[in-house]
Formats: sequence, C-alpha cells, structure tokens
Amino acid sequence: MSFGWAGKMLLVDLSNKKFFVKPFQEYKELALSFLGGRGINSAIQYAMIPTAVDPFGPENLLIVGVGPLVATGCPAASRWNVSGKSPITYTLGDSNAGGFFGAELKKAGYDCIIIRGIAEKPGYLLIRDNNVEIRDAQPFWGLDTFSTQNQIACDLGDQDVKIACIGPAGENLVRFASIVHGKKRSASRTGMGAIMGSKNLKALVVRGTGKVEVADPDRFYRRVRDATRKLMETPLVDIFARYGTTMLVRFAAEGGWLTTRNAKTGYFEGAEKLFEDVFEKNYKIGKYACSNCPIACGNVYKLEDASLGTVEWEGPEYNFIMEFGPNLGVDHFPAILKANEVLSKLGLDADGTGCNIAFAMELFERGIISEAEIGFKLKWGDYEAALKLVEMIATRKGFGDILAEGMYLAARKIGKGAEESARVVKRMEVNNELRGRKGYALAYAVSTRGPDHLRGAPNIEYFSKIYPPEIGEKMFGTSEVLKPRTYEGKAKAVVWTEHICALSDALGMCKFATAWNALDFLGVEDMAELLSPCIGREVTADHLMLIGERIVNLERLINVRDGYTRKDDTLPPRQLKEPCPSGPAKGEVVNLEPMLDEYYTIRGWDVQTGIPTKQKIQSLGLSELTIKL
Amino acid sequence: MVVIRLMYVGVFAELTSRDREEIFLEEGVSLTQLLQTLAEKYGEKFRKELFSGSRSQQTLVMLNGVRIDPQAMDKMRLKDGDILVISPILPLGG
Repeated sequence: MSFGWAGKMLLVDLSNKKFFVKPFQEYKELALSFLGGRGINSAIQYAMIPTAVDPFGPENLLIVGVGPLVATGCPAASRWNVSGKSPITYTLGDSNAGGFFGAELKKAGYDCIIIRGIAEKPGYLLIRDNNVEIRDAQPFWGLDTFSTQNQIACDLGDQDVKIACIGPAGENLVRFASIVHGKKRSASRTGMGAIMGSKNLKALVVRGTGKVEVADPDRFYRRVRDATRKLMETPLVDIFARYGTTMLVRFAAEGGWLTTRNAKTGYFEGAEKLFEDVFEKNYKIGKYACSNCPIACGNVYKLEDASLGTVEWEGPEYNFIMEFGPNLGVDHFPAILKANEVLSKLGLDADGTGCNIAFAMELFERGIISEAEIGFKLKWGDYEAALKLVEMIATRKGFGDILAEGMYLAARKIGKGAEESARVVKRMEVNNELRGRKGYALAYAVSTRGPDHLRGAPNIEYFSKIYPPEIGEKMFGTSEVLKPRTYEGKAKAVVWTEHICALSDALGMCKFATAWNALDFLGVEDMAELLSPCIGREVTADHLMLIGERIVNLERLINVRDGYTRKDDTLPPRQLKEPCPSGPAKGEVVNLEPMLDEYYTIRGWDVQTGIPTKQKIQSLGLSELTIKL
Repeated sequence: MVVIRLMYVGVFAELTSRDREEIFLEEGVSLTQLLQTLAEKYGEKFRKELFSGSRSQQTLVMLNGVRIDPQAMDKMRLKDGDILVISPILPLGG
C-alpha cells in the first residue's frame, strides 16, 4: 500500500499514442529518497533527459509531479510541479503551481505523469481515474487559457474537471510561456508552457474520484489539526490572509528593492499609488484559496475602466505588480490589473514578460532599437505600448518575435551593445532588484533553476523587527543575518532556505505556509510530524533536511552536466558594479564572491568550480542513483 | 466599558513581553487614545517604535483585519470586541 502517495506513475508517449502505468513498487525507492513533486521530477530529469536534448524535441520530457501530502487533508498542501529541460536555461527546468489540479491528479490515482514525444496534431491528455486518452485539441488551438478550460469542460459535460493548459504563447513556443490552471494559478518560470506547445499538447485534463489513503488516520488528523491551529493562531496569518503578497510593494519600497525601470534602481517615485491599501479600497472584491488552504492569500478583483474595460480576475501577486508597475515605470494600477488578466489568458510568465519589456524600453531609451523596428514608441510608463508588446510576444509578431526568445537570445540577436541592458543569469531573466538584500542576491546567483526567489531566497533577512537577535544567532550563528544589507550568515541562511524550499516543493506544500515565509508558520519539524503518520514511516526533521539537501545537490549535478559551474553563479553587472543610484539602498552593490566561497564550503562543493565533491555525492546516496522506468 | 483584543507581532511582542492581551476601555475611546495608553504602559521604546514607525508607514496597525491609516486613527472609535493587531510591516510572501 502506498500511503500518502497515490500509487501510480503514468508514462505517456505522444508520438506513438501509448500509455504505460508503473505501480508504486517500481518507484518506491525513488519516492522514499525524493518524496515527490519537484524531488521526483528532478530525479527523473537527471536520469532520463540527456544533456544534448533539444528542449523542443521529442526526447525532452514534460514531467508533472505531486507530493505525498497533497490531497490528504494536510493544510496548504496543494502544489504540483512541472519540469523538463528548460528552453531558456538549457538545464533543469521546473515550476510550481497551486490551485486544485495537483489534488485532482492524486485523486485520479497518479503521483506523476511523464510525457515524451510529439503529438502528430494538437491534442489534450484526458485522465479520468484509470481511463487515459489523448483527444483532439484542434478546436481549441489558438484559444486563450480561460476559453480553453471553459470549452473543454463544456465539451466533456463536466464542470468538475481540473485543467492545466497553454495559451497562444505556449503554442507559439515563446520561451517563457506558462501553463495555466484556473484563472491565475500557473507554472510559469523556466518555460514549461513552451515545452508543452512543442509537444502539440494543449491541455492536461484530470478528473479523479478516488481517495488518497494515509497510514495512521487518527494520528495524521491530529497532526493536521495541530498544524492548522499553529498556522491560524499566529497574527501573521491574519495579515497575510488579508493582503496576500500585495503588501510587499510597500515593504519593497521601504527596503529600497522595488525593481524599477529594468532594475536600474530600487526606488520608484510612484510606489504609493501601488500600495495594498489602494488595491483594497478600489479593486478588491474577494479572496481565493487553493485546495485545502486555510489561509486564502489570493485576491479577487474587479476593474471597471473606461479605456481598459471591465476585468474580473484573480491576483495580482507582488511580482506582477512590480514587473508591470515600477519595472516599466508604470504607476497606473488599472493598467497592471488589465495586464494581469491578459498575461494569464495568453499563458505568459509575468516575470519573463515584464523583464523583457523593461529590457526593450531601456534599449529604446539608449537608441539601440527604434520606432521603425517596433512600430511605435517605447517609453517608460507607457502601459499601452507595453500591452501591445505583450500581444506581439505571445503571437511572435514583429519585434515580439525577438523578445519571445527571451532576454539572453534577444540581446544577442539585437547586438549593438544590447547585452549591457540584459539582466540574465544562466540565460534566464533576473526578476528582482537585489543590491539592497545580500541573501537574496546570493540565492539568485546559485539557484538551480536560474535566478529566482522561490528556490532559496532567505526571507529571514527581513526579520530584524519580527524576531529577536537570538534567533539569528541560534540558527545561523549571527544576529546580523536578520538584516538585509549585511553579509554575515547569509550563505548559511541560503543553504537552509534552499532545503526548506526543496522540501516544500517535494511534499506539495505551499511555501507561503512554511518557515520560508515566516518562522511562525510550518517548520521542518511540523512537516515531519505530518509526513510520518501520512506515509506510515517515522521520519525526523533531520531526515527531511537531508532529503532537501539531496534534491538541491542532484539539481546542481544536472546544472554541472549541462555546463554550469561557479563561473555561471553570478549576477548581472548592474547588480555587482553599479551602486544603486537612489532610494533607501542608495550606494549599495553586491559583493558576491566571498558569499559564494562560504556557500560552496558549507555545501561541501569544490570552492574553485562550485561542483559537488565525490564525497558529498556519495554521502547523499547520489552516486548510485539509477532510475529505470 | 468595552473590551479590545490586542495582538502584538515581532518587536511589539518583544517590548510588551506578550503576543496578545485584552484591554478594558471606556466607550468612545479613539484608536489614537488607545495607542497612547499602550505607549505609556510599555515605555519609551514601544512609543518610539509605534509612532515613528507609523509616520513612515513601517508599522502596521490592523483593526478587525483592515489596515488603518495613521491619519484616520483620531476619528476611529473603538467598539466592544474589536481586534487590533500591531506589527512591523511584513515581507510575507517573498
């Protein structure tokens, strides 16, 4: 019996229209070593995707994985991961989303779907418990993500199916295309929507009527009750539930890292127009919760605007407000809310899209690209031009075709010094201003999926007013770790945070409900208390942290195999060499190299190359890792 | 007489040595008056954190789940059963 896990793995060959089902016994060891979700997905990438594979070729895999705590009743356990060789970074690709899709997949009986090949014509994968088929998606090809989901549900006569699909951006192989579920839940970073498009796969459609069994229901549900109570009794949850991530605009403005005008600075003069109270007062109409989440951090809003029209949608999250607000010089909230809907429908990653438009605006300002090439002027704050570019990117029309390649390739195609404005690490867009927060900067440099805050960015460095200095000393050897602009303890904090993030993703828990977000939320001890009665094996916090470490190291081995080493663990020159010109972080740069030395030393990796040592690989049981599926 | 439930986060919990308490007030007391009462009770560090923070918007005062603008606190009369959260601005959500 596969307590906690659904018990089956589905392999799909789109080229030959064949399906294979693997029972739990055949991947049990994998599950015990990597749990599920991101953990198993990464192990499959390591074992089954060779370095030379074209991300858009038939040999690349699209892997959808769900963790053992999802669909069990565990609070805030709704997450699912999509992985494959990224068409942006050409190494480990992985993205994580919430909503109801992951839970439905497990109720249908599957922990993981591995999809290879390319369908002869557009299709969608339909899973109804044990029945799996590929159906014709030609009637839906070209539709946006919202219409696609509605029409498939109508065609099936089942409004309870859960759908994850691509929009025009994925169909057109925009390298930062996302996979969208519902209105707003999306697997966005690293271009998983583009892989789906390359496989002629429009949607994953799931209906599950089963139940995920847990090993010791009495003990498990006591732990669920304890964890839920712990979450709900902290006032932090009241604040988070009320505002979601919209409050971060104010926080980032106060800290001096509100990414502004292609991250030229961390100060935006119009920030107050984008604060959470403006959103609350004028647009918010409700809340949204993912499967079995007691927090409900998602917002629902309504925009009625004479020129932008009426929009009723979910979100926006902080990163979206930042990317389409300050990063484009826009302080007009209605435009951001409109863009939020448009990007979801087109199936575009907010970070990738916002970064690329900011990049284009800077190139226009520098005179490297012109009105003749684009078809209109591109000026900071011109949200109408930005919205036009969004459509052009999704459809690969005109200059949009160049930006659809992502900043790294676009800069090389444009030439004329465009590379100087490109903010990329490991070929992927850097979605944040980092000079005023050193731990975040290190986390972006070393992240295994390319620069991103959701893999190891240590929120602990924000907490000098939340936690006493002793917390910093106890956890990371110094109270200075609680301050964003210090370097002390940051390498240790990033390592710890990377393990917490890997565990959350592997278990299926939302990071927002874990110690990554705030220490008052669910920590690794809580995860162990929940997982043990769920799977029927006693696991400790130390054991879980070892699994987190194993996942991060395995992902690093994928990076290394694909040619990424210490030389690539860096940041854009703007963050390293140009002092922040304005705002609370004025004068700051990132002194990265000493942090890297410390980070590799703590990790047990070779300091010169950033490659995990043989000893480290062996100690984590990775030297003998073989997967046969 | 009205009863107000207070919750303190972070530095405010540290300065008050508690994370929640109930306080009894006369009817018609404003939010500003309550904050001043708390500042007197918990001392200069608390006052400094609360009021200098409020002016620069680094302090979050939430009444029944709604953030209160410092400018509006004078006019806001407290009612029996109100829940007040006093917290630094939070980076929740990453």
